[in-house]
Amino acid sequence: MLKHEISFKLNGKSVTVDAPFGINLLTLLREYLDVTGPKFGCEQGNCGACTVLLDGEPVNACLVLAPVVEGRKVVTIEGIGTPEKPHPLQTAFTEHYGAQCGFCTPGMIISAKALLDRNPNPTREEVAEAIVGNVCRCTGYNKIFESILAAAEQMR
Amino acid sequence: MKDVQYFAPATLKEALQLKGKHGSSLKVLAGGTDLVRDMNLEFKIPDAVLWVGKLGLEYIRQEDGLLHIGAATRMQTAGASRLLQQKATALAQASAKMASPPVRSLATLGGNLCTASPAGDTVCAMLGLGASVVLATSRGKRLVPLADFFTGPGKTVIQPGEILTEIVITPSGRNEGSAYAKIGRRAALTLAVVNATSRVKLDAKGNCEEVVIAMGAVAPKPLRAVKAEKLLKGKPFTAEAIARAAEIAASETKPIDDVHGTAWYRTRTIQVLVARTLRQAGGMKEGAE
Repeated sequence: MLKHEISFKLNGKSVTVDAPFGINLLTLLREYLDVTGPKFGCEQGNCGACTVLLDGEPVNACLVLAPVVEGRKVVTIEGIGTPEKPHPLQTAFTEHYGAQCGFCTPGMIISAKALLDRNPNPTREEVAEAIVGNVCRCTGYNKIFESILAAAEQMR
Repeated sequence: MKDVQYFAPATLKEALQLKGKHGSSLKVLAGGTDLVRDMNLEFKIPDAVLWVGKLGLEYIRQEDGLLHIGAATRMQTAGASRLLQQKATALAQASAKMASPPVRSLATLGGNLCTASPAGDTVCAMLGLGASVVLATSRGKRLVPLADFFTGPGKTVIQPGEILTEIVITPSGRNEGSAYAKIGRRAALTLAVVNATSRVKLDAKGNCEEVVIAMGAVAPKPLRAVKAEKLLKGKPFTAEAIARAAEIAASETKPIDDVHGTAWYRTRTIQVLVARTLRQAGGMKEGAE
């Protein structure tokens, strides 16, 4: 299959990758760039496990055709914080038991980050609205709300 | 997997030339929430894709007394638009609640129209606002009222060489409003089992001067309740008139049983939604029947 060059900013660094035009951004990240934080769930924009930031806005990576990111900025969970220097959201998710199996967590934190970037003081309802596209089958969401609200307080 | 040709022109002129040359083998990619989903799940891999994200088709402005909305305007943008919230309320309401934030920062109004699902959220809102769309080719353009745009599930009057570039809506004026409502299987992130939009203009005496009613997921295509509109027009806009119009609107539908709901359920709930959106569009208080 023919490969084409796709260049974009990934987690603050410029990357260029050879990939076919017919794949989605999730496949590009996971299989061509070894960035495995975004998870492969439903492939139809219902589960939110693949949520990444595209030019600062949350998107389902599975619904973005790979070449569309040419020249744009993509941020995955890997770009939010590191084990040594975690983001307050990542710390809050561990301290408030916001993650159980962990499959939804990368997407969940990206959606939460997108919310806090534009609304540092959200209500519980606004948090619920922000993560409506991120399905979690473990926590029942309450621990996730608490984690996000705690991170918001920490960051203010 | 086959090779997909990809075009991302920077001007509408180039895009229209490409569409004219390649016709139906060139699929227009806007947000990708339908096209890329179908590639992922149904292995419908197009020969070639034309991305319209660089054409400057995301805008909402009022000009010459009309609202002009770029076809690549995303749900996120439409839902947050003050102009739409005030002058095309139903569209802002439908956009703001559609799917989820990650989908809303991709999905576009033009894309929703071209997918032509009978249940489309913003499709119903735009039809109920009496919107028209601009279909452009490399040789010119035509204006098509949405009432004449849909021909069946997933089918529209768009020709192979055409691209939908703009949506045109008459803004709400004085004593005029619109409202959108839907019933889904859950509170959020859900397909409409039924949806409805009403647009109502009252005169100084409280008579219904203009009215548009649209209903979704109750027929093979998004539907205008033409008989109900006729019944209301020029008459006093009362609770009785609304109830009667909603009954007539329900009788104009041809719903089916499917996994989302039954025809029986749809016929009954559409009547409730038509009445509710008429009341809201006409500025009546809920529960003031």
